[in-house]
Amino acid sequence: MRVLDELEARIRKRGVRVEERLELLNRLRKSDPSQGHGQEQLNQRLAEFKTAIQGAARAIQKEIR
Amino acid sequence: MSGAPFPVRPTCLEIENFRGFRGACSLDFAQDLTLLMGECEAGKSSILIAIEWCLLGTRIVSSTSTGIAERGDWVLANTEATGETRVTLTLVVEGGTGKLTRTRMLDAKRNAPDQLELTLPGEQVLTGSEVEEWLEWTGMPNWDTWKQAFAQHQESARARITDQGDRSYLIASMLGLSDYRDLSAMLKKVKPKELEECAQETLQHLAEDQQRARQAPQQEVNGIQASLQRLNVPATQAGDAELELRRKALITDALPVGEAIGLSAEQLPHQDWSATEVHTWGAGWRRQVDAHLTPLRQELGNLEGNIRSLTSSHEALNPKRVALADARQQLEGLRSKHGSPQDLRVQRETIAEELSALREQRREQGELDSLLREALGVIKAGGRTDQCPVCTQDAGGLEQRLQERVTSGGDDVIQNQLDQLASRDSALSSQLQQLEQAQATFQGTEDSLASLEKTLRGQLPPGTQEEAGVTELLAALLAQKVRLEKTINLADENLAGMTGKLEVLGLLLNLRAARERAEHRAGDLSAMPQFATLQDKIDEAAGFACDLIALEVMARELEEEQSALQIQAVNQSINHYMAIISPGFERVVSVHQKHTATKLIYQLVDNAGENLTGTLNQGALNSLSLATFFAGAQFRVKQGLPEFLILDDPVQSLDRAHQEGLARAAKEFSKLAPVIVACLPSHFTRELERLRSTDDKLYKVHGSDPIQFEEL
Repeated sequence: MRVLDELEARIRKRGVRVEERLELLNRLRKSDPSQGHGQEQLNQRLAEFKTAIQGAARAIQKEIR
Repeated sequence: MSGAPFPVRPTCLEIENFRGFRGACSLDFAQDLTLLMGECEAGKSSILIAIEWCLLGTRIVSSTSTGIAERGDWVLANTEATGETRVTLTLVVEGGTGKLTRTRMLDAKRNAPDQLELTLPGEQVLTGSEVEEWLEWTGMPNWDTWKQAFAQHQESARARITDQGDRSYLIASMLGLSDYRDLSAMLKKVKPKELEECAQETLQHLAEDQQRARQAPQQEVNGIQASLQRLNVPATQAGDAELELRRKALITDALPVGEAIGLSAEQLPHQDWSATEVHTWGAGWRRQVDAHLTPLRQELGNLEGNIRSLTSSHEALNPKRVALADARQQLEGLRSKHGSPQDLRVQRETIAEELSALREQRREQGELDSLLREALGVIKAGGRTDQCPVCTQDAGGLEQRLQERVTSGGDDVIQNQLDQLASRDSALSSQLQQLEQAQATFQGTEDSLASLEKTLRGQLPPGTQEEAGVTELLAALLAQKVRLEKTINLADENLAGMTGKLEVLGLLLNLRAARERAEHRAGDLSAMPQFATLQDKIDEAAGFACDLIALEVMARELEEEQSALQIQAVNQSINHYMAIISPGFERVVSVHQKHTATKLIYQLVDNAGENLTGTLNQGALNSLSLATFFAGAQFRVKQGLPEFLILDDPVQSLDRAHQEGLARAAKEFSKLAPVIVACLPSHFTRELERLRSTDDKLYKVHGSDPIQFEEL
């Protein structure tokens, strides 16, 4: 998609968290955002972060309970 | 499939058992313009919906995805049909024509998937998701784009300009910025704020857990202290010093017991064991001690039996000896009085002989008496009492003498002698019996004494004197018994106290652990290594959220930059079609970008900058909606995307002049891409008939059941 290429150029131009943002972009490239697949990819990543936070919290809860 | 999509367009529609259509029918589409004309309820819209269903499936009537409220209840299959529902759309595709067929099985449930098949040139057949992918590849729109840019639905004729979201979506697509907008919208839907909320909730829960955790161990400490108090260990005393004392005491108490019952060094507790080790060891101590006490208890029982036996044997010896002396004395007394049993037996034999002689004598006397009585009888019978009947000699006084002899009483004397002898024999028999009984008593006592003495000697060490031996042995046995009893009592006392002592030790250990937990949990969460991990995870999530927001902002920036380049051309196109549809409209329409806090929206304003959607009447709104519709389609055609327009009853709120203008606009656009129109007979249809070219097709749709149509 043209928009993703332009977005990549802009990410590189900004130079902030380039690797992380390009990684997100790669997830989007593997699917078509207009069909909602990219959203699923990102939602999945978001769910992974939630799970990681909750998992780390459970380790603390286990320790303090 | 080649690298670039080919702009596909429909050429023919075959319908079978769809809505009002029973059985099968087909109609061809013109390359330019196709008009479906008919009265109300004739089935015009059903033909258009059949196209939509074939391309887009049940989402066009799904209550959750259609976005057109009144479609939620629609039934696609003909309710009286006895076969499958099927719609086939013939499409001009790269290299020839393809047939796209969507089939719904008879009695299929509302949400059941349809069967989808596409036959391409060269007999290539695609099915299911392959067809979906192919449609996507050709640039066929999704349902949202279809609603905005391909179909003028009578249910939502003006929504594309009056609804802010629809309007912005359509204008963005005209500006060639759908991808940018899709990307922004998709990034926005991911909702990175959920991560922030998740982190905040997690930290809040942790704080609450910590608060509870601080309380729980203290309650546990209080509970253990109360238990110790009941075991006479006050709270002020319940600490490490007391734990150490108890630990040492348990070891100190156990060591003598273990040594006494014969445990090995490995089985005994060590002085350097920790309280926990001692507690663990103590749990198995009773079993260990009991295993050794059982043979000791058995040994004590045997010992007590031996003592009882020895004492009993010893105590029975003297009475037995006295009894033996008495028996001997009695036996000797009887012997001196009556003689020996042999003497008595000899006397009894003599008496027996005398008795025998006397009995013989009495028998002979009896026989003589019998003869005498017989002779006396003969004499008396002969009458001559003075003559012997045998020798006939005279024998005076014979009868008298015989009579005297018979009655002389000789038997009585013998009988008296017999009686005296029998009496004497009886006396001798009694004396003999007494002697024999005394002899038996003596013998029995003597045997019993011998047995006792033998038993006792067996218990005593060889060569020892009886009395001294018994005393010495008894003393040794009693001493052994005392030692055993002491050992067993020591062990029993130890075990009896062990349970309570172990309980106290366990409680003190638990108390120490609970206090440590209470101190630990009361500490700062951030000092925990696990908290650093959590912080890392939150930081990573925050980075992800920032990245998402940054991408969304950048996508919006790109959209804004691109739209500025394209907006003039879009304005020209909208005003061009607006001028055709509404010749009297004097305002100039312009697309205006507006930034909100989170997105870029598009408005339609006039040359004075006034928002048109808020000021126009229904007819003008309809005209502007249709002008925007044609303009959007024109841009898609320019981009080489598949394009064909469907207009369902587009003349709502339009007067005669506007209907004629709309017909001209549709006719003009049909030169760019196919247009399929369904409409009631009207000025619009008449104008289209007037403008009709040879390539156009006009159908009259009849409302009879089933739907029928004829080409005009």
